[in-house]
Amino acid sequence: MCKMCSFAYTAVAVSSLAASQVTASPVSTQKTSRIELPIAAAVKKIEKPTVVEPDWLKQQRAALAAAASQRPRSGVSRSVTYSVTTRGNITASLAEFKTQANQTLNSSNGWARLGISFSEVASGGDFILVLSEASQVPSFSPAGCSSDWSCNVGNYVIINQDRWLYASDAWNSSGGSLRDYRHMVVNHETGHWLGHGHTYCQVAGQPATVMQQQSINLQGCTFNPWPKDNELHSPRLGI
Amino acid sequence: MMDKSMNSTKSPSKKTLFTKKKVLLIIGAAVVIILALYAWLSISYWNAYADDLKSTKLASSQVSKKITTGSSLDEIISSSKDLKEDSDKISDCQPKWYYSWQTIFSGPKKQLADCRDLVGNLSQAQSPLDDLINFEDYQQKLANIVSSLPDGQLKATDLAGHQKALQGLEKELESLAKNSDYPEISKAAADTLKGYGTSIAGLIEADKKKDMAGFEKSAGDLSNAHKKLQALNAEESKTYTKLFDTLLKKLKPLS
Repeated sequence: MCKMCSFAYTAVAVSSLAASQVTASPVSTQKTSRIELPIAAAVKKIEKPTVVEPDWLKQQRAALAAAASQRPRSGVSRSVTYSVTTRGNITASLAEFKTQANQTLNSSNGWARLGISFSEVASGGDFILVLSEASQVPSFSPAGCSSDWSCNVGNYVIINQDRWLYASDAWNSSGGSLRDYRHMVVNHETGHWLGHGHTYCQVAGQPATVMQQQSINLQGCTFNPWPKDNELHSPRLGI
Repeated sequence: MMDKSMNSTKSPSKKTLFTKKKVLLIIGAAVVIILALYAWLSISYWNAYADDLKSTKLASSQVSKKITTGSSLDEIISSSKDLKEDSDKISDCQPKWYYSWQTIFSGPKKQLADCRDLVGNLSQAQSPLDDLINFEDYQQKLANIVSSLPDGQLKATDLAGHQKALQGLEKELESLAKNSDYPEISKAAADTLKGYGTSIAGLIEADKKKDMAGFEKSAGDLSNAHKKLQALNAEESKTYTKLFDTLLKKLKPLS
């Protein structure tokens, strides 16, 4: 019996080992990312929530647009002065910066639609337009400014040199031109100086407001370098 | 008469002898049958013992294989549960007492040694296996909460209903997170729900006051809260990667 048993045990033991040889290796994140995880699957199904604009909001927008359309498009009613300065190591052309910023500020598509004329002065002025080396931007406000983006602190309208030269990933991937980015960033930061806060994309597919953080994410809107009708007011200047 | 009587006494003793032989023969045959049956049962028993070892090793290699080849999570969890079930079957390796003496023979002795090695190695993998199975259970419950978040186009008139539903979800998450060993993912989930809750409250308030700036800000906050779901995804993926890696390391000696 024992010879029989030994024979059977050996046969079983050999076959059991042979069947189970699989090499285990540490799993890579790439392999894990191929696995559909429960929350990832749930998140995939959740659409971005958007709120249907209530009637009162539509009415307010329409009123603002109507008021904006009645403002003088030609003829200056208010003069704003600014000076231009730099901070840190500047490699971009300062002359080009000055010229293009002034064109943006006084463009008939821009804040000039409020009836403002922007004039550059040698020093001082109502605000100071700064072209800053990226790493120097936080020196204006370590908590409020990042070396990645442009910023407004008090009377300083700070343009990040990296953005001025290269725009941003979100902008470039949406097919926006560098010149339009420059219009947008000057209008956006000047918009803060004029008293505007940030806005968000309301209707996907529609042009973004200039006060939306288009450098970071278009949030489904299309890029737009210029203030929209409903942005044409200035809490700082009271117009 | 005398002869007759002598004959009659001799005949029963021959009969007794024959009967005794017959009884011995029957007992002998019974012993042989019992021994043969015992031998057959022994072989079956050790075959089954070997099958359990084989099945456990196979289950362990299946878990590793499914993780490394990126099988579906359901398959990974199912094979992990199989491995747990199989390892429970062989947890003490002790053969039944009426077969255990057979471990003096090389075959059963080797199987017993194999089993003890296997159980020793598996004991290292028990905790990562439990962690993975428990985390999966927790994630499924979290996913149910996440999938109840308001999405798509929301009407201002429905916001109060969404707010109430969110409060319910927050409570559900709170009680779920209490018994969870994964505070990071619970926090990411709580932050997301809070983001939804705060922005919807802001929208309700702005709608009441007809405050355009407030409404736009809260609509933007809601959009950002939705983006925070990505942080929850990242936390989930990070935790699964960690659990898989730990389990694979512990299962490696079994491969």
